[in-house]
Amino acid sequence: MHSRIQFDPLQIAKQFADFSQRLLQGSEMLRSVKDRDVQIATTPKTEVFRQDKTTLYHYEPMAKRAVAVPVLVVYGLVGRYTMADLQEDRSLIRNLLLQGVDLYAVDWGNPGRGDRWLTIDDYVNGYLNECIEFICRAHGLDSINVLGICEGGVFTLCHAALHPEQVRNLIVTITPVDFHADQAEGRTDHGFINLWTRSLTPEDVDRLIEANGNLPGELMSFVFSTMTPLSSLTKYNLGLLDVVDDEKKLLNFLRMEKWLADRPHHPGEAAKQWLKDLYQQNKLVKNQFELGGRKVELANITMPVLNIYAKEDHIIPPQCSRALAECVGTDDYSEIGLAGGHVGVFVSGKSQGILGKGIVDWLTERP
Amino acid sequence: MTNKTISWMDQAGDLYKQWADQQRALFRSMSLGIAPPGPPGALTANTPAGASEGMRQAQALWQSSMEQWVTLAQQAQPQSGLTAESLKTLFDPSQWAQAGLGPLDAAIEHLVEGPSYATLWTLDRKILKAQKLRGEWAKDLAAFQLLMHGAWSEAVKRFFQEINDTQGAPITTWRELIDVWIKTANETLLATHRTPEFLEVQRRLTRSGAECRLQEREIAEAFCEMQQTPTRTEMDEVQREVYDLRRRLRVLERSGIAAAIPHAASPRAAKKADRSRGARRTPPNSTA
Repeated sequence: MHSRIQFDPLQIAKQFADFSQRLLQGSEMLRSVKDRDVQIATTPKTEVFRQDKTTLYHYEPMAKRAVAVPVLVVYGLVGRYTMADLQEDRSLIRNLLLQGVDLYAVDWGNPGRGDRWLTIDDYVNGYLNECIEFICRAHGLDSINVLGICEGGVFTLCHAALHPEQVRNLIVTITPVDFHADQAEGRTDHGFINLWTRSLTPEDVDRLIEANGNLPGELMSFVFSTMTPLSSLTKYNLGLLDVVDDEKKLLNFLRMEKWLADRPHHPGEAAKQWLKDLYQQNKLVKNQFELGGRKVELANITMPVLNIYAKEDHIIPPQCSRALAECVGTDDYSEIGLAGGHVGVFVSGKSQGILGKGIVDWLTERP
Repeated sequence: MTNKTISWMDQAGDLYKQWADQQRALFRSMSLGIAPPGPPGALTANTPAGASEGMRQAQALWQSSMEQWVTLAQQAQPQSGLTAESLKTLFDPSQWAQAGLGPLDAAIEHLVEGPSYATLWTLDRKILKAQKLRGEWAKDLAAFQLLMHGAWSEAVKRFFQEINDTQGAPITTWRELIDVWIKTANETLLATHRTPEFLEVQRRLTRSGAECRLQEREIAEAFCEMQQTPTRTEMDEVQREVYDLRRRLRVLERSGIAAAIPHAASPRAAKKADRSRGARRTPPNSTA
């Protein structure tokens, strides 16, 4: 039988020797790296407000202020906000600070079983609203700039629709709006979470939450790993081997691992809304999503909106985000499509300059 | 060991049969014992007509009951499902690794889905139900593994097709070979994950896992109740109460602020009011 494999025995022996050498160097480096060497979210900040498990941080300035109105960064509940500040040279937070932005970030903490009754209403009309009011009071402002990421982007859209007077400019990044647009590009590597959630019945979701009290972080990690099956399986052998003899690359790898391992549980009732109302029934784009007895009408978003999406986002496919253009009530709507995937937009070396600069330029034009 | 178990089972079956035969004989003898000692004519001659008729009716009733008991005794063993064969399966560890519980399924189903009684067998039924759900979960897991096994087999098949495709570029390093495998397997698995079959199998596995866990919680809670220890359900109820109270407190606090500050809608005014009060407002549970 003919085969494409044309191994030269001498070359194979050399490759094996090289492999052995890397393995030896790598094992020595791995032995020398301690957990304390792998730090994330190190940009200096101060806790300024706390309610239940929600903490509001204010970052120390790093440059002369160039954007007058503060920006609040809002991450979702599926991961931790630390993704926006993974390491010094891969940090949206640091990039914004270096360009003169007065920056706050909200940390939802680690919801436990006791938080199972919290709803998205509690996060949007409760904690997020309290944080925004706090910043407004602290600066003597009526409104501030808000930057939402992923599920946090949905929270900020809901908040802006319900309290438009409190938001000066709204920036959403990698944020789903039309949860059923995942197949718009017909890509088989995109939108598995959308398919998975639609394959469940509403009762399946209820029983899952009832059994666990929340949407377990481990389950979501498993679903995410299903989206990239082989890279998940080869991460700790082949992937690690690729970086193990380079200290900088190894630490980058370990920082990402630290962030991934820190996946919180999603509070149960909020998870039911997230999976059933939004992923299954697509209520946000239909203006049928209700919070605190009020319908979230996206047309009430009348402030300037910047929508940033990732062209290779397999978790939130671009068309799911870009659907926002047709829903908001503002004429001042802009989009930036960045190369890269869902997390890559924030942590890849390529996107570092582009993302922060794009946001600051847009904000500067809208004081 | 197995032989001894079978022998024990057979002996138990024999004992049961003997007991049933004895019961049958007992009812027969009781029935006969009620019958008058002499011929029917003697009864009619020595007893009043009404009494004779009553005795006949009683005799017929006993006869009828005895027949019903005989029928019951014959049916009881097979209906329970706990035959010697099924019990034998229970004690055979090699059977446990198989998906589901095989012959025991029907027995457990019968016991779990039968009528409930107010004070009898509650915990037993819970444990049996957990066993049944565990069996269903094992079946779903086996179906999931079978489907994934098919996907991996397909990936291997495609991989060999790929490396034997002479139209492709030569593969000269082990890393190139691994990259071909990763690409092929990734594409095959992704395609599998999107099939309705995979999604349905995964859905069933997720659901049966949740049902299992909920049933196990019921058993744990039954033991908690015996020891007057708070159960998960009770904790959920308490946490729900705390959650509701917090929400109500926030509403009250916000309405209180709105009443205290004339232009509460304006944060500038609120800040001014805060300054005039000489303190920053700190909500309950807050550190700021």
